[in-house]
Amino acid sequence: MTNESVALTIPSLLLFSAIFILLFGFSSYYSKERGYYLTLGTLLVTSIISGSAIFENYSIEVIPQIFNGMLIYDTFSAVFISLFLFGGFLTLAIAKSFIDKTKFFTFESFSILLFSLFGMVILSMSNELLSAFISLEIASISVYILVGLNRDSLKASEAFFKYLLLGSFSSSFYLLGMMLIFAQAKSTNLDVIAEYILHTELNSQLLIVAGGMLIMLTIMFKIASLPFGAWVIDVYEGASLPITAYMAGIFKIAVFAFALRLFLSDYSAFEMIYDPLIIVGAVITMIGGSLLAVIQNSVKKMLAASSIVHSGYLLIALASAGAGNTSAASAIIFYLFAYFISALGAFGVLSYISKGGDKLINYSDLDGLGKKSPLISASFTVFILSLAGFPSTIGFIGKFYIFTSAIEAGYTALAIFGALTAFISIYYYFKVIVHLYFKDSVNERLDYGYKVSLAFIALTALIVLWGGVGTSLLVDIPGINALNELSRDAIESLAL
Amino acid sequence: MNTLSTIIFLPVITGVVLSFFRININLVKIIYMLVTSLVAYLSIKLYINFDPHSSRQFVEFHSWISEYGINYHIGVDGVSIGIVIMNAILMPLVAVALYKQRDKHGYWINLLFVQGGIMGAALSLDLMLFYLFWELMLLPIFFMIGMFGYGKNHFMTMKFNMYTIFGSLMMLISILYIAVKYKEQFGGYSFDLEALKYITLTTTQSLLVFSGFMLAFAIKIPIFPFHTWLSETYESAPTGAVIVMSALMAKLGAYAIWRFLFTLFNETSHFLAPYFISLGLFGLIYFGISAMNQTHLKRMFALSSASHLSLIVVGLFIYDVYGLIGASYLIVAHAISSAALFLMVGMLYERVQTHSIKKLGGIAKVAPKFSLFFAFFALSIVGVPLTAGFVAELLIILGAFHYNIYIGFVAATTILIAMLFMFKMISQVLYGDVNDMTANFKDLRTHELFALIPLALLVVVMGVFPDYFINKIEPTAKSYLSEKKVVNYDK
Amino acid sequence: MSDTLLLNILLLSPLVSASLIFLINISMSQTKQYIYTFLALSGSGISALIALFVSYYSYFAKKVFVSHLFTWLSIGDFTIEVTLKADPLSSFMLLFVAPVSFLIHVYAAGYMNNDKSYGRFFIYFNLFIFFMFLLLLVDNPIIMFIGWEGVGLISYALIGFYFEDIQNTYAGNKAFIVNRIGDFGFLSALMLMFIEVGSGGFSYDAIFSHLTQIDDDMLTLIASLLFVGAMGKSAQIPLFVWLPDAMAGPTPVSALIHAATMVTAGVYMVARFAPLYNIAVDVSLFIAYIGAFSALFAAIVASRQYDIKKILAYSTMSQLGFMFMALGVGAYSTALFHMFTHAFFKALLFMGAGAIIVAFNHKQDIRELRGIRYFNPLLFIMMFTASLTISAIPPFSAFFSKDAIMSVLYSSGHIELFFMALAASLLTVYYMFRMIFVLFFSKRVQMGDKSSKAMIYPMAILTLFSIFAGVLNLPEIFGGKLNMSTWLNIADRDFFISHSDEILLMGVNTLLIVAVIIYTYKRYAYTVIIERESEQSIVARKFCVDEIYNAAVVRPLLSLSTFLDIKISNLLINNTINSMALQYEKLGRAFSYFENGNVRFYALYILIGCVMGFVYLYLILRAML
Repeated sequence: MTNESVALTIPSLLLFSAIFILLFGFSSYYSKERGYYLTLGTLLVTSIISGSAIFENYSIEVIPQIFNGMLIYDTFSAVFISLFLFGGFLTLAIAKSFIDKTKFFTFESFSILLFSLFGMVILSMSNELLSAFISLEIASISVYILVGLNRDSLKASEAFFKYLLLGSFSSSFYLLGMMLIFAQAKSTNLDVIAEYILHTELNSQLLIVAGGMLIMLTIMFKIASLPFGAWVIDVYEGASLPITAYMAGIFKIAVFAFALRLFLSDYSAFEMIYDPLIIVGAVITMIGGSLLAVIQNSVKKMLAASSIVHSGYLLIALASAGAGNTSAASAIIFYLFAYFISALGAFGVLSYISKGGDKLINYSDLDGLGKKSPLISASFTVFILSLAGFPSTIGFIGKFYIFTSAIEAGYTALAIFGALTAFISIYYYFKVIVHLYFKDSVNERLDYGYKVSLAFIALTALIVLWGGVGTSLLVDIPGINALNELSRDAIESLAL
Repeated sequence: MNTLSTIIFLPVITGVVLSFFRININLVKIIYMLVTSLVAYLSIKLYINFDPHSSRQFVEFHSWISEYGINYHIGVDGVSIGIVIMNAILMPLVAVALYKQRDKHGYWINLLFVQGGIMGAALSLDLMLFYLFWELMLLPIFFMIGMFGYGKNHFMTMKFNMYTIFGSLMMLISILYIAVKYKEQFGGYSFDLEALKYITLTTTQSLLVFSGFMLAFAIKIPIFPFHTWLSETYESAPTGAVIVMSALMAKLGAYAIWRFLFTLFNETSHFLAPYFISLGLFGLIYFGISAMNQTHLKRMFALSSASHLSLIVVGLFIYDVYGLIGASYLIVAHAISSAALFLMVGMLYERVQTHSIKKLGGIAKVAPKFSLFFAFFALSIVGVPLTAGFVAELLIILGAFHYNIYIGFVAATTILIAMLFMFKMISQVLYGDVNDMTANFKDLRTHELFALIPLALLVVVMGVFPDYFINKIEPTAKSYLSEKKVVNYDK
Repeated sequence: MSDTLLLNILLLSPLVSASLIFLINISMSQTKQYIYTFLALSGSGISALIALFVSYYSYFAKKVFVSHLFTWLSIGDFTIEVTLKADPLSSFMLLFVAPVSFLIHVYAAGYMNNDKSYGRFFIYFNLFIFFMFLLLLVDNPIIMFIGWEGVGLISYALIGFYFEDIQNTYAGNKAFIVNRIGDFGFLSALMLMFIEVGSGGFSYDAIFSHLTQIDDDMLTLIASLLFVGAMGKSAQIPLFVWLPDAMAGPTPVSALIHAATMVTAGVYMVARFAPLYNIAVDVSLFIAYIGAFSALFAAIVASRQYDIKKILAYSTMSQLGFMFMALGVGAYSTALFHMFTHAFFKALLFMGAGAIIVAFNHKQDIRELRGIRYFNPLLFIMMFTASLTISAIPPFSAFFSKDAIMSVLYSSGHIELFFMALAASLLTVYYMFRMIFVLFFSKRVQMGDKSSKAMIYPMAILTLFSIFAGVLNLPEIFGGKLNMSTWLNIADRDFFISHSDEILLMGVNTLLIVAVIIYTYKRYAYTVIIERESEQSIVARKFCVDEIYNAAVVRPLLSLSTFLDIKISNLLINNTINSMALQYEKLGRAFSYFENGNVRFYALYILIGCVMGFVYLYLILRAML
């Protein structure tokens, strides 16, 4: 398949099955099972397509412009698209037990999920501010709804409302920014803007700078970096667990996809202007995030707060990427993958053991799980270690890249600060392990059923480990090196 | 797969396999015994085949993360051989001594993991690889203390873990920093010890990076003032973990100083040597005196190890042939003695359910064998002649006098320090009349004897015929001395 | 049989027998006592025979036995060979150490009879001989140090032999610790010596041949540090405190280790390093004074003691003081000669005391042991002879040795030393005969159990020795020609003293001694004056030295220990770290106030962030344009 056809197939497939499920949902043939498997199937197929597309034409080649340059399908977007789809697939697969046990996963929820994925796919491909905004909103709005799926739960509705309010508030910044840019560059196409920036000097770019910052604020809001990310804990708390995983894991990536495209290719000229902002943002985010994470009693909220911290790490890398360090950009992609797979696993485990109840899971609820179900707690430990950046997990490699790139970009102090944050994060992450294994409790096995979810959790854990030590020395499965090359190609494809 | 990789990964893989299959605990113990004995056999063969005159041996090199120049690069030389052999010998003996007391899968599996981890850390010549193992060997100990410890072990294991990881993270940053510097100077990353040797740093840079590394090692050893995790952690840790921590991990910290700091920051080490020598001497006396009034056996031995480890640090930083060899000899000697002592403390606890010195007494009357071995190992810690400790301390003191007469005098106090607490303890624990607690104290059982006799023999042999062992490490020490570069930063 | 083999057997046979006894003792619970006896005696006996053989050849044939065993250690210049070398000095030491230890073994076989830890006792005893021989025979100071520490270790074990009473073990600890303080000096001295001249090999000969390279201050330092070691072993001021307590051990131990052999190691060591001390004269003088003070001090204290073993202990210390005086003025062979005779009569006295103690089921207070002459007249005679010997009545052996010391002191020009020595020796007479008269001359009559032959025969032999041992070194005036001095050919400083003066000296000395004996007889024999002596007098309380040491050293150390552990480690450092963690959590709680769930606040934060951003942008753009 040519790139163009892939680029057209995937979104349309997603759309098609989303709409199909909508219609199918009213028919008497519909059952939750079927809806579920339909979605799962779609995701599987699409991710296989995009994945194979990556591995088919590995190299970076000039890409046909779709819809006269509104969308662009290069390795960069290909990588991200397959990440979303694979992520969505994993989330659903792990959440099987949760979905079965809960009432509120009706047919429309599946199609909304697909819609949001569609939005993200387009977002990662969009080479143009307007389309980016539209796709971002498609994704966001569907996520708002997903947050509020559980109508019976007050917390969910509250979270939904908060998110909706603040989300639309922040989107307005984006619109304003876009307008300012258009006012000066007379276009919303990134390439044109880049051209403009290239051929004029600063005092005729002020609006572009300002607009860029406004857009950046929106992005910072979406990736939940303080002070814009205050919503995150409430919303994650309110949302049902699979959705939380979905947001923390995938939606964040999607936003980053666009951020990278914007700030690495076009706005790289303003790096000395934006970097201090990003750095300050990173510092605040890491401090605040770890402060919030330390005091949480509920594991879910802790993970939510810690996701803020991880955004902080990403901002470090973004800053160093701004300082003109290509390896930093690929480090971001690697870290995104690392975080997304670990967070997915962690939330997945929570959703698996929560048995669909919407009560918060506190540390004390994990007591003795190590005895009750060894496999679950083993994989949970792996995810936790990876999030804490413990060696031999993918999380460590990710942190390693980010710190290295920060030092290389000359932000050594920032790297040390990141290390300190990681040190603090050890505390709240290892608390989970303490409760899993050390606290005594009855010594009888507990069977949660749903071997499928269990299998996928284990599989995710294996991926995490393999990402930490994976090497072609043992068996020829693409390991760390392959991931590196992939992310590097992705970044280089931006430059074209 | 060649020897080194085998002794690293055989225990680890076995541990992984065992942790997946819930087989009968006795089978686990048997497998543990087999694996560790095999490792011991391999390592002893390694030791015998080890040719002191060629530097790095049994080297394995594979590229791991090619883009960042991280390689799987391991090899053994005179510095690491001691740790390796100790690790290999102690592990099976620990099992022999404890197999009756411990019937939890986790206990043995974690011991396997930690053996692999320590082997890896001692053998790796690539900094990232070293960091990997350095962190990994922490995890099993974390689990062992948490799962099988005494007292407020959950808190202590957390504290110990945080403490150590803090050091490690600072070390990580330092590693990354020099790697980046290497890239700037030679183009392309490398984390290989051999390559990184050649980077040039400014004074401030090297001082900062050095302290990053040193922090990690100082916490692990521990050097004053980073010792506050020590006594409480030992207090609440199970016997196996304590043995590993005191006999191997702490020594690994001292080893790392030699392996990495002296290789990478030769000048800086020499520039800072006086400070660390004084710190070590201070620690030697400080910990020794603090141990005098302890009433908790493990606390006392913890502080005594700390005191000796400070002496090891002194020996290393003296950095002449006597100091280095004395230090590495003391690493091994003290590893054996302290392992044996903690083993016996474990047996004692299992018999009388107390660690308090005050409650004991008169054991010599009812358990002659036990008290014989106990006194023997205690005295070997004190460093009486014809034990390995004596040779080591003699050499370190000699080096200290070589370095500076006054330093020498302070270092020589080590032959006084250890007595201050050891003899009082021996009297109170072994002698006097029996009380109701020790009245029916079981003497050593056969399997416990089997564990202790080899250690005792080793101590004596190393004390009477040190030359054979010294010859294994002398050339390495000499080679390090030959590349000694001293610059004074005052200009 | 080759020399090498001889020496090796001499050294190793005690070790072998010790380890055999150990194996038997540890492996089987019920073992016939005579097996131990046989092993122990054969071990020490063989070595005693060989020792006599060796010293015979060394004396007459001037033969030096050498045996190189193995290289102990070789790093850089630091090469230590384990080489046994029976040069005149070593073989002279062997001449009395080996036989005396054998005899005391025999005695101990009787003394320890039916003791439940008979085997353990002989393990230690044989090990002790092994280390003693090691100390004497090796040809370099490092290995000598090993032997030196070894004997200290064994003495620790033997002092605490009856460990059921924890006080005994504390006495043992005290002994070992004080000795270790001495060893600290010894070791440092050796290290310094190595730094100075070690590159040329580290055997005695090598060291002495390079002595000239060392500058004077360093030499003085080394010499004095070495002597610190001697102080510890030979119980001189200020490191003597352990010796009286060491009497807690079984009496044979006191006889062998704390009278005849181990404590004299210090003297041997100083004599061994004679070439060094001949250069460092001021240190030698210091040694002489230390010796003088110790002799006097011990004699004074001994004159108010009531425990029979304590009296002997202090007398040992005082006799050692005499030896050090002689060493100090450079009359090495004289000192060694006194050590030689002292070994016999002091061992004899202790054995006698032991016999009495056993006979009167472990009473040790001379006031309770009055009038015991008739229960065993032979014992009385032997004790009496020994006392005459120690008080240097001619023609007993000690007369020659002590008189020699007197004359060298007199002629050395340090007349004050001479008078101190005189006072000490008269006091010696006083306290010895005080003991004798109190024990044997009383209206009361007590009968004890009969002493076994195993105990009596060795004593008889030793009596003969202590009477006739003097012939080894007869001075000229008695037609001797100082054979011992010629044999040892140590670099003695030679003092001229005219025969007339010497005779005068002897005469006066002897008269004084006799006078003192008579006075003592008047005072103590058949009187009850001993009961009336107060035990609270400062002398009786040994000048409170132990109390002073406790107050000055031990207690401060303990309180310092508590301070460091509780205050510094725990309160200062540990709490700081823990509180940092707590503060952080507090901070988190405080921060969570912002995270209060109010949407309007969140929106506010967004706005604030936005505004800050724009302010920043404004500033930086102004700066750039």
